[in-house]
Amino acid sequence: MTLLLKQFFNFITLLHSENGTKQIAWGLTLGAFLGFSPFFSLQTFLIFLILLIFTVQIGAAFLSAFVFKFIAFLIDPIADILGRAILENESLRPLWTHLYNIPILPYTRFNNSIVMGSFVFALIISPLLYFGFNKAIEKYRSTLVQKIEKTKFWKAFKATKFYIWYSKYQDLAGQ
Amino acid sequence: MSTDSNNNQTTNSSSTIQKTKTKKTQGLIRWNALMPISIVLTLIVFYFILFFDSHIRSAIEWAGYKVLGTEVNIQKFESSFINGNVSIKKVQITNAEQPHLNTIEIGAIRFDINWDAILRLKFVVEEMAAENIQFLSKRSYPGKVAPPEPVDNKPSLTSQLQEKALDKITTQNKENILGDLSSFLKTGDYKAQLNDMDSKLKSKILANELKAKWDAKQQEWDSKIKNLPKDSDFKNYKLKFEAIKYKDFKSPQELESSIKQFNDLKKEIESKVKTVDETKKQFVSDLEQIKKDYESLDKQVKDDIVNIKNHLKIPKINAGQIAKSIFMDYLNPYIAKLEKINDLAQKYLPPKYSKLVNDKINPDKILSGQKKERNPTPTDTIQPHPREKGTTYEYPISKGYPLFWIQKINISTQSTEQADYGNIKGQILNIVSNQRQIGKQTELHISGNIPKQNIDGLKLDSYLNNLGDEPEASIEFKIANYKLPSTDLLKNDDGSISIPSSDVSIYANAKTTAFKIYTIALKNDFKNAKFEVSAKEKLVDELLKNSFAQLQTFDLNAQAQGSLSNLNVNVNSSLGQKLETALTASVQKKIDDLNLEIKNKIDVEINKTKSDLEKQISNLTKGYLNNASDSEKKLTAQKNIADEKINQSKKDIENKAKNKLKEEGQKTLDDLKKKFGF
Repeated sequence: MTLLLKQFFNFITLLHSENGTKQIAWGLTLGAFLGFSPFFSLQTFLIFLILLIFTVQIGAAFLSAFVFKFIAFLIDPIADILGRAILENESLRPLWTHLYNIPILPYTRFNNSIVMGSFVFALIISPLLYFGFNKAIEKYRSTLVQKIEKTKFWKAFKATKFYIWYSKYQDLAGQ
Repeated sequence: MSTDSNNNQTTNSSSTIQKTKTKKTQGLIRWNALMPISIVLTLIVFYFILFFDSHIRSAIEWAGYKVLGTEVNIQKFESSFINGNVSIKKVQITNAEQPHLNTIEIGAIRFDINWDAILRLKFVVEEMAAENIQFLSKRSYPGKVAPPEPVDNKPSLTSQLQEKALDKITTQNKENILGDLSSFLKTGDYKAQLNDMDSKLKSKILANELKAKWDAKQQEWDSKIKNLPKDSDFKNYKLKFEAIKYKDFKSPQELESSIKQFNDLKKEIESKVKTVDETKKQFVSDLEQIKKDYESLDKQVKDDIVNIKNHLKIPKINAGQIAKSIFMDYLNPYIAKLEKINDLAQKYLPPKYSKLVNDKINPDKILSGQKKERNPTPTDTIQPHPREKGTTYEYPISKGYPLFWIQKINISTQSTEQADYGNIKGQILNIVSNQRQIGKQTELHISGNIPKQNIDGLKLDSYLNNLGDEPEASIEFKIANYKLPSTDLLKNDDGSISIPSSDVSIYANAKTTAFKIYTIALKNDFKNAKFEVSAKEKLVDELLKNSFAQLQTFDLNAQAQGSLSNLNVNVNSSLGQKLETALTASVQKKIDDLNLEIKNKIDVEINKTKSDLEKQISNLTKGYLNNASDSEKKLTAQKNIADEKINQSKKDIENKAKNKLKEEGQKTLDDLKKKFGF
């Protein structure tokens, strides 16, 4: 429960910040890849590296990974079917054999049907996710943010010590 | 007013600065994160440059100590990730028995790392060089040796072999050829000793018991024979039978009376038959028992002879026994080394092979790769549905490596003016974690000379083959010539036999299948042997000196075969043969005389009882049993007569009745004929 609340507050904070929409959208999209990939795999490491090197919203990525992990769990059967279809494709067999014999690549576990299916699924939906998140964030900021800020709840929340502390932190961090 | 405006301007400018601050844009690259990453990477690089080699050196020394139980020292460890090579200088492994020496010292070990394998998390070395090897080199300080492991109940290979070779006599009671010889020759008159043993002879005691027992039985038999029916009894029966009417009966009552008399007589005979039958069974049972008692007496006599010989310490002048008692101590170090190698192999082989040695574990289960079954933890909470595992596809591996593989180690060492390393060349091939993956066995080949140790013509070949269903390991070891240092073959209070110097050639061969069945052979040829013999007893001393004087060459052969728990060990030597010949000439006559005296002593005491028993057996077989059988036959014949008479009587009256009926019928017919006028 604590974890869920923490993720929720992080998300709210991000949306109400003045960070670039693209960074958030990229974070959310890369988080989807994280959610669909096994934790101990090469692609997870690469995504962490991307998150570290490029100015992508890390919080958004983790939040998104958390959510997409559950989605991945639900679509496992579909991913399995998709993965098997790809890995059993005769025309692609030489490619997979070659990749299997390259050092390091086997650590992506691409030869597992669910890993392959989940990755391909994430790849397919990633453009949709990116643009969708972009649009959603803009819409949210232009419409809902003001409404929420007018609510009594928000006013009460702003008066809490937690928010005061957070504002101070943001000022000090220069955000 | 101006102050207020100034204040307002200040406030405005600070808020502008703040806004500027809040509105700072970020580029594509997260530079503020890359800095700490660079610092961390730099630190890691510095670690590898400055500390990695020394840490690896310490780790190898620690691991070596744990594995071998003795201190391992490495002078220098150098590695280069860029060039992909490793160099280890001056590796010293302490000798457990002599901590101030090294078992082996390797001047340098060099090899290149295969990066292709490393990227696949495999360790593969194509070629490794080991140079400047020395054996038993001096250390600068005594090395650490781990304390021995606690003793367990399981007998060591050494003690098992020793027990087997010495015919299960424990170390305390180990056969002492010198001691036995000394005692035997020292003691002149054995008659007094034999007389002392007289009352303790078990065979004599048994003989007396048996005599008493069967004498009592004899009386019983005699009384039983008296109760058997005699000829007069049979005559009486005959007369009684003849007295009873069996034909020409006038009435059925007469018949009935005769039958009754016959039956009464028959019953009497039957009761006699029963008595005779019981007597006969008793005789048969006694006959079996007396034969058994005779055999047990015979066996006891043999046991007593052996006990007397042991008590009088008559030495076994037998080549095999001599070889065993002399050479077992010489062979023990070889056996101990083999046991140590076996322990190391069992401990550090891949688990599925080392566990084969343990009988309690099911080898089929291990080799089939079944994982350990974990006990499921019982729980009442709701368990989430486990994540799907999917299907994992294995593609053909065109470039695969086993987890650990050293393809070739070249060993070379050459003596120099500074140090005598020995002149050795060799190769170790395919030290690998999975032989089946590469299809090759592990091999070791070494040859050369070690002048410092006086070893010429050294050749060592060893194989470890895990390719089949069961692992096979073999080792073949040869030394063409080795100057054996002073060696004690036999040393105890009664004397000693030692070889101060000799040249020996050694051939040893050991093989095991699945670490269960072992075949070990050792052959030593001794040349130019100079013996030093001495014995406390003067006569024995002279005997030994004369025997060994002309002896300069001999051989020693030892074989052991079977499982560790049931090794069949055989030791023989031409030295034993030669000693047997020499000792036989001197002491064999005395031994033969003594053996004869023991035999005579026993015979005098026991033979009488034995002949009495034989007589009783004969009496029982030919006398008593025959008598009983005869009586039984006669009684049965009498019984048959009774039956015959009864039948005859019955037939007689039947015939008479028939005739009477016939007559009456005829008469009635005649009357009828008359009546009707025919």
